[in-house]
Amino acid sequence: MTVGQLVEHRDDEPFAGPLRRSPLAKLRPLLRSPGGFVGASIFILLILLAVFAPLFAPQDPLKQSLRDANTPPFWMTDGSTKFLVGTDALGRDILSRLIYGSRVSLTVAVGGVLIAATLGMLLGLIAGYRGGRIDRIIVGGNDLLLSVPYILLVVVIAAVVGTSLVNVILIFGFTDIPIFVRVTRGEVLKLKESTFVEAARGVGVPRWRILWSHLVPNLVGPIGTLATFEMSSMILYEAGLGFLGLSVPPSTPSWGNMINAGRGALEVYPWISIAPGVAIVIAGMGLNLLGDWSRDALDPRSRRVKR
Amino acid sequence: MRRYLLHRLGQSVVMLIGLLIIVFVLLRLSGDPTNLLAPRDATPEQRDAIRDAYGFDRPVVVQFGNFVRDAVQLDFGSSIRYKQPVRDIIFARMPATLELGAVAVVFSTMIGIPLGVLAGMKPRRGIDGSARGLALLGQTIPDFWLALVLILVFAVKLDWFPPFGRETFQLGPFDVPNQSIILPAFALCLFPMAQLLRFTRSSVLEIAGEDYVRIARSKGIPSRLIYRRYILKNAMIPLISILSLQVGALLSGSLYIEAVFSWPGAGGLLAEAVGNRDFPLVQGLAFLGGLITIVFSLLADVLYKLADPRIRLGAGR
Amino acid sequence: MNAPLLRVDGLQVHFETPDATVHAVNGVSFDVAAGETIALVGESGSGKSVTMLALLRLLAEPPAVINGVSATYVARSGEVDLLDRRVHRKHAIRGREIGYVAQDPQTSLNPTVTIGVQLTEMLRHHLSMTKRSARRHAAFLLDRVGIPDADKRLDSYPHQLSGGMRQRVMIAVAISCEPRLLIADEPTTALDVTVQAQIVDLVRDLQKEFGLAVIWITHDLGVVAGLADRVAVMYAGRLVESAPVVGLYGQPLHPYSVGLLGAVPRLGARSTTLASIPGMPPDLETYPSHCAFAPRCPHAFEPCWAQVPPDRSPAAGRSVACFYDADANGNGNANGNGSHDDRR
Repeated sequence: MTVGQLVEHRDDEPFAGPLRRSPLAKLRPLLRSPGGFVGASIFILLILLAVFAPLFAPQDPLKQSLRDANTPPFWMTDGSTKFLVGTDALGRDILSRLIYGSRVSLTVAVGGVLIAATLGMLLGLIAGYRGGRIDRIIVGGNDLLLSVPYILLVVVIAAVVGTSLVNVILIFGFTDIPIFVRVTRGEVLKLKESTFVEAARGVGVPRWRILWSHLVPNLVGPIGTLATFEMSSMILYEAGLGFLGLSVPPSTPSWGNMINAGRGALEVYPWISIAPGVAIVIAGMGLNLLGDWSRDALDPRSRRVKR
Repeated sequence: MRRYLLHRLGQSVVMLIGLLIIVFVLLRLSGDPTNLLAPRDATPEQRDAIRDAYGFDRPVVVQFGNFVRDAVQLDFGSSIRYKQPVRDIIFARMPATLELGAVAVVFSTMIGIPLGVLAGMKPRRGIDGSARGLALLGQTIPDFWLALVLILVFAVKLDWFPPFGRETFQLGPFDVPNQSIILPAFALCLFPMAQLLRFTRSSVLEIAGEDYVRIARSKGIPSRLIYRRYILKNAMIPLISILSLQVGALLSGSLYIEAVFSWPGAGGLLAEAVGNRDFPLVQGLAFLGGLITIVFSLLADVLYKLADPRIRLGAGR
Repeated sequence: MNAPLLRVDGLQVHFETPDATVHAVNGVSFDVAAGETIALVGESGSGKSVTMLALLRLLAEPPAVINGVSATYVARSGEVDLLDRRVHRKHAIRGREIGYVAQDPQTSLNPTVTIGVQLTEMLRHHLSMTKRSARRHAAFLLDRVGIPDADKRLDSYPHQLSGGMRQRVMIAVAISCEPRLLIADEPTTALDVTVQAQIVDLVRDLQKEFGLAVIWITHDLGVVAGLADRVAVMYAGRLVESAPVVGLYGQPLHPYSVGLLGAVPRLGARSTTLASIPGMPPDLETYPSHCAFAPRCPHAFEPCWAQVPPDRSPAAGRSVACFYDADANGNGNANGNGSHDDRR
């Protein structure tokens, strides 16, 4: 380092310390970003609909009424405001079924991601922290799981193990572990290499403490973002399974099996299949927008530097 | 480089073995697989007969050994439904899946890559917004639902395409699909197209901001040249991997589209087989799907390493 | 004296970002004569690089906004104003008239293209050479900048060379089309000290051989002493002092220059503490309405806070933007508003 550099002030590279920002501080820009705002709103709406479905649904989703079967949505001829989005072949109100369907989608998404994230982070931590043989085993298992095409895996398991909500959650939870392992392990390795940790160790800070106070805050961002995207994927996959009849039983409304149910009558009563698809798209979009926002907000590189 | 190839090949073999284990375990997850095979009203004698025929009463290790031995020869037994060797059935239907996959790849690259490049070169302008919107749609629309919508609009209402099935015409000695391939291929290409778009965009964006691009400008050479030799050439390298992985995924995962369009490919076969509880067929398909994925993932790695001179030629000094 | 090769007048660059406007360069004026070497000194963030990039129009606009009175350059085809965008392509400014060497040899070369091509593309474009003669000339250039085995090296990729060699390649690229002006932006900062010296020597040789004018940006005063004819000191986007090398080292006029020079430890000096300038460089988001250095200046007094000090010329060939005059009464008296002319 030349002497001239002693006079110079290096503001361009912030001291690589832990992220000690309060998580709430990150929420304020959410209101500024249109994408993030929309995404968050959709997500919250989804949660509300799922939790308070009985309050929102105009009808009983299971109530059949052959007299009202195949009613079009209210904006088409022969539609009625009693069934805003029409009814299906058994006369059940589609709107109510959509709202109740959100329960399945959300439960699968949240449950699945919880399982995958928890186990994935655990494995990733162990792999990254311990290194050596354990690391190789875990990474090997990871890659192996990833090498089986997801759809195949999910479909086959579902066929073998039988269909129920719990099974679907478990399947998705377990098959989605690899990506969480990968991300967590990556962060642990990054931290291990950082000079900050070297410095802290040099001063005698115990390893577990470093991990706890520096790794965890650094993990929240990427894992949170990842979780959002994975939830969106799970909603899609659950619908796929439902479409094949491999998700919840057909009486329980799920967006996937609703699409399947309307398939036969696609030409004459298209709304039966189309409406649930729209719901899926909206939910997926909301989560994706939220994920995009969260990725941009938490990535230190895209933060506006003052100089 | 050669060492790496060998190492990677070895890794793939290990993965293959792992795949075999997984497939083997999968179908025994619910305990005695006899239940999967036997019709519901089978008598105990009938069950025993099945168990014996498939060897489910032997020790697990023996079963696995037999399974591996058979799998290596691609012998998965005979399909329950079709009463033919699984291998023959799958191979007969593979070409249709390959056709579909090929057209889908063409669509996704022809739309995704150029849009991604445009969006990356002019970020935050109009084209970028639309491109990202398109990518978002591609990632959130369920492909089977889109398939239904496409059928409704283009096949039923507009009657431009047949609503299902694979229709062909004769081109010399070949049985070539006609426009009936367009709709399914389009539905299939949506997700990879969106992925390709986002990836290309971020790759181009990153490369365009690199120092050597600015230096290239300072050299006063024409923009076209900078574009081709400095930006595109570097941005395309990571795309090779993604494309390879996508091809693998397309070939092994066209399940839904083929089901909706009644496209006679190997993917649709899986849905059928699962529905029919055709155990040997499911096993064969699962293995094949995994095999394709492993091969294309190997290809992805190797091609990438070949394309980037930094890796291909080693660290030199 | 002939007209200077480059005369920059009142160059101003600011960046408009969603959060704030950054005033990187605030009214910089200087001259460069043919064949002379100017060292542009200042700390990170002082605006040195931005000034040069603005002249070559290598900044992304937006967010950059470039203004100024003029930037007159005497090209082969006549006098042109570098502030006019169209000039650059039409008169082949980049590469042919003005060469540019950047700081980091790691990232300045295209990793997927051979060195040979990165040289020949320029030769073929600017000098219309054929493929073969371009390759021959490229080998010659590599040899000239001290790269052994030049002919074989043409087919190497950048990552196969060391940092020092890569920087030599960069220099070869920059001078390949015989520019009259070479802008070197901290070319030795990322290199080992021994290699630094080699590069400095190389540039000096090339300069003599090709009659190049050189603007050498650096924050390393050691390099300055060995190479420059004149020194220009930048602080917070302004040129605060400009003088011939000997003059600056012998008698720095601006308190910032004094600080810079004072911070260099000298052999045999008695003091054991390292002198440094207290305080921090200013935030560039506010357009300066007073002397930017005032908060850190030991000689600051009322006029310094009231307005931006104009340039004054206390001696031939020197200029300083400061109200403080060490000569008058040794106490610091304000000098009236100095005249703007005579920047040399």
